[in-house]
Amino acid sequence: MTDNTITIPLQGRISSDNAASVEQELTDRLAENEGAGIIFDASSLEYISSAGLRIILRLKKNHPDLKIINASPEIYDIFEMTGFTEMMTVERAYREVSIEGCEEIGRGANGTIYRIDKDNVVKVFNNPDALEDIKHEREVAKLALILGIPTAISYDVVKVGNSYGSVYELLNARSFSKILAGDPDKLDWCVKEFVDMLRKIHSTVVPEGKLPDMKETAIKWAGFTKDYLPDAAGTKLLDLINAVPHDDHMIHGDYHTKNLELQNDEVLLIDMDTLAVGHPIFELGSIYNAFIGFSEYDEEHILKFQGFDQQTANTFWKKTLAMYLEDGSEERIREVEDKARIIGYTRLIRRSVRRGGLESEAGRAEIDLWKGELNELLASYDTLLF
Amino acid sequence: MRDIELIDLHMHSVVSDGTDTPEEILSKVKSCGIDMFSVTDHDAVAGCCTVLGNLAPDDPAFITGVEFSCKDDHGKYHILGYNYDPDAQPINDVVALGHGYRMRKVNARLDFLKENFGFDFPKEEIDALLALQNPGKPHIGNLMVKYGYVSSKEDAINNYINKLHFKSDYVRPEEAITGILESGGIPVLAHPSYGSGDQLILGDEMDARLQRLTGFGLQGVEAFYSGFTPKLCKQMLDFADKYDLYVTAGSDYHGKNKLIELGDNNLPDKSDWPDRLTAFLNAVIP
Repeated sequence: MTDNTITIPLQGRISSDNAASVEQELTDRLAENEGAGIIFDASSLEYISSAGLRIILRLKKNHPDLKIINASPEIYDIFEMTGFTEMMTVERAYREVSIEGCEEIGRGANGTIYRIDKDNVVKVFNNPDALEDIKHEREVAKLALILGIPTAISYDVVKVGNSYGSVYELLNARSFSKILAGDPDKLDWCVKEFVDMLRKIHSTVVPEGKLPDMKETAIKWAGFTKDYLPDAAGTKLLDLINAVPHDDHMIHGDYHTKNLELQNDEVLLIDMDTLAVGHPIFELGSIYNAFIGFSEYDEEHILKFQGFDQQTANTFWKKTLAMYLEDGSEERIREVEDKARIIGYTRLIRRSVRRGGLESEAGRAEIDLWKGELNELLASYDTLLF
Repeated sequence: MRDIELIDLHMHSVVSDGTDTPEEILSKVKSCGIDMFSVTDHDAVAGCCTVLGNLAPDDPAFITGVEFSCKDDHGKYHILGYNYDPDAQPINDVVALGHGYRMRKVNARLDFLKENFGFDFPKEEIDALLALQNPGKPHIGNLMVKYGYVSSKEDAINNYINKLHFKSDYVRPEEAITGILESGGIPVLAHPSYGSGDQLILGDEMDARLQRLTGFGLQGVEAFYSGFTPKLCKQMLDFADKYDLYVTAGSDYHGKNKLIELGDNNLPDKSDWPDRLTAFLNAVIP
């Protein structure tokens, strides 16, 4: 724990038999650590009677930030029934889940999804301190569900090695990437379902303040990437993004075929932690990256990531865009694709530079390729709207 | 009469298991600004008589109190009695009944400790113990520490005194409730959600309990209590509505024996007091 937090174990059984001595002991420990944040670790607490609850209530009066971690299901129930969970943080003990030998079924910006058994999957977060991320994803997934987007809500938080994971029930589900990889004849059907869901997302109005604004995120990307572009191009990039009007419709933020699952006959959107609001051009930018941008320099990439080849990815992207725009003209499709590429490259350059891309020859070549394309595109367009 | 804002209707003196004399309690109640109080010793009314004899005209409002430890086939209860006439025979009969049971237990425990572990105490210590209004396990534990048989009171209770299991007699809840009512008092269930102090009685179980006790004449519940969370308090206020009961507020102060402060009972500001508490105060203050 950090310097100004101490963790004190609660052990065995706390009842009227030993309440007085436990209270004295805890009071002494707290007095020794005046001013520190207090965490009671309930890992080895077997039982707590109301005499024990009263101790915690009294200590909390002088230490309002007091929290309890690692409560077993039985102990958590006691805290919940008596209303302690409503007045202080009580964290459950997390079940441990192993992903050894489990199939990877999805991978997103913040974590990887594994199937742990026939009916359940776990999303393991990259950030080892992911409890806040998990909470955020749960909240936005619930919001999406309320707003009519079919998605899975995690029902449990588990410990996976040193990371945390959230567990979802996903019965008999297959990702669209898997369907495309295994059955190329399904491509048109997949495109249609993919676009239907995309339209559903983009037509959903989100109450103000519930989700982050994608435009602000894109401004951050551009603020970084402009330093790697000629001055005029960099300034124009920022101007173009700034000129995109605020939009309160939902965007997924990481929409591709690994994040769309077919469960029996129902299509479900997963990996919801990037949910935001904004103009659809930001979404199209990230879709372009998922199918083409990431693998533009190295086509092996798409096979590793999605399980299908670049040609399938290209076809899927083109057909998706054409259907999404409902207007078949080549010119129109090209224009929107170019605008999506502006957003896409802006993000890719930042991402690659931040991950040390400039330190390898291949990385530099890749970044140069994107920079060249972006520079050219910026010269051709005066708006990102379509 | 003074305006009443701070109240504490549940505290123990040396007459039972507290560490302050009734006089000390009166002085502390005054210094911490409590406007109305009651002393509620276990199975004893003597502390209240002492307070009554020491009250000055400007002192905080005082009502007589008692906390009977009760048991029947359904469980254990602590039943508070308020505003009874301390000279009335019925309540003194209940005190005598409880005292008799308690003395039998203390004697049985002392015999047990002597026979099984050879723990023996001077006659004057035993006489002093038996002369207490309300001797119990903690008093015996303290003696064992004093004479070097154990290092702590907890050790004494958990590892020696509690080894004796016997079916002890308790005052029955209907006996306590009837005695309080017949002495002009109001019977109130103490810290209801915590049973007799160390259980958790919630939901249907609490409902069944209140149905039985109100059948005997129970008139109130201690919904505001130092050990209650807002959720437990709310549950008891709801039960008070359901069974049309008075609501009271108490800390369960025991002096140095427990780390509860006088006046700590989670009662909100007067403007937010429930009507059922105001009704109780109106019923006991002329």
